[in-house]
Amino acid sequence: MTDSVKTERPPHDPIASTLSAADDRIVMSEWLPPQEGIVPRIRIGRRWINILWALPIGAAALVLLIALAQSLRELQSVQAFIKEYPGIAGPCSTGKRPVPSTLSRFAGSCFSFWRTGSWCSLPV
Amino acid sequence: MHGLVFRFLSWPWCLWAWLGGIASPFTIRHARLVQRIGRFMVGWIKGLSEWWEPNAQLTEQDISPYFWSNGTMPNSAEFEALVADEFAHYRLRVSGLVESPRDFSFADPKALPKQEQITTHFCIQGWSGVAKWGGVPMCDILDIVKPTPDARYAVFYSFSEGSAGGGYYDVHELHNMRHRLTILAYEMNGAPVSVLHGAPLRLRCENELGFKMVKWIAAIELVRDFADLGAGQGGYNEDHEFYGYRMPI
Repeated sequence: MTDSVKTERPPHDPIASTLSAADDRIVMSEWLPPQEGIVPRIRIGRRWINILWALPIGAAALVLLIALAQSLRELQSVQAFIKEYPGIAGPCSTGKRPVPSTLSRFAGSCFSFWRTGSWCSLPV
Repeated sequence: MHGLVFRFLSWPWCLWAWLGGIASPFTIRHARLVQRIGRFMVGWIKGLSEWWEPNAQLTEQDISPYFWSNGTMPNSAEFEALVADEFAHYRLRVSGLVESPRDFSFADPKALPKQEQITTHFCIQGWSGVAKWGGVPMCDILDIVKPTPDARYAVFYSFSEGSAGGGYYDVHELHNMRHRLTILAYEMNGAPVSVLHGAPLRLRCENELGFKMVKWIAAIELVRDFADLGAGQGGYNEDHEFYGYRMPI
């Protein structure tokens, strides 16, 4: 049997007795129950719109706008305008890209993911 | 070819998701171990960053129109009585490893030289707010009570309880209590600190996150080690939420 040396800890302030022990695990029953995910919404003005509606409506609006633009090109006055003002072609790309297209596409998808996350916040 | 490159670039995401599925049950079951590993890996870096000077002084124009308040309000008859008589019978006990333990009245800190500072409060939840704080530098309190050489930490006990019950407290390294922006605040934006924001006294330790700045301070104790306090992790949120006891901004 070995001799043990008993050391006295300095007494703490009386209020230390009110401190509580804590579990070493995360006690799931004390946490909020799992929440169902919801479809992200985007805010346009003061309205929150479910993207399941916004995407098809946006796509349909885009198709309509393209059809409208194409039909406008059939008009005599618009054709005359285009003929008079054909526009100036910008510097044409040489076909070489500074970044491989696959990499830029991947970076773009990551960026759009992040951007979407910052645009779409949950309604409070 | 493109598909191959894409797959190559996306594997870290897949690995991350896979590790998440494996790691979550482990971290839930062994949260304290994860906390200790985190302390071992980055705790010393956080300790070093406490020595960096926060560039935190702002102007009156920067003061936030609204300053959020977190924490569970004190709910004891003792505190109610103190509020009722406007803290006339309040006593701040400063004890532990000190040569001259003291009970300060509410008027005592106000009689000491006042320090004002306009600083940003950073909460671990992500919000922040700017306010002007007035109070007595902690170094002046320490000069009065004279810590003994073996005192390493200051324990701040609150009148409030934590969200899961038990008294709220937090521990700070003693060297950080001598930081020039560490004060016991009794004023906020030129008025006495409200009960909501920690009256009669609250800690302002500007190089730490908000939860470390104990409100409704009941007592301060200087200790050599905090392992025998609460669950031994250096604070209420450290015990119950597995935070690190050093949380510099």
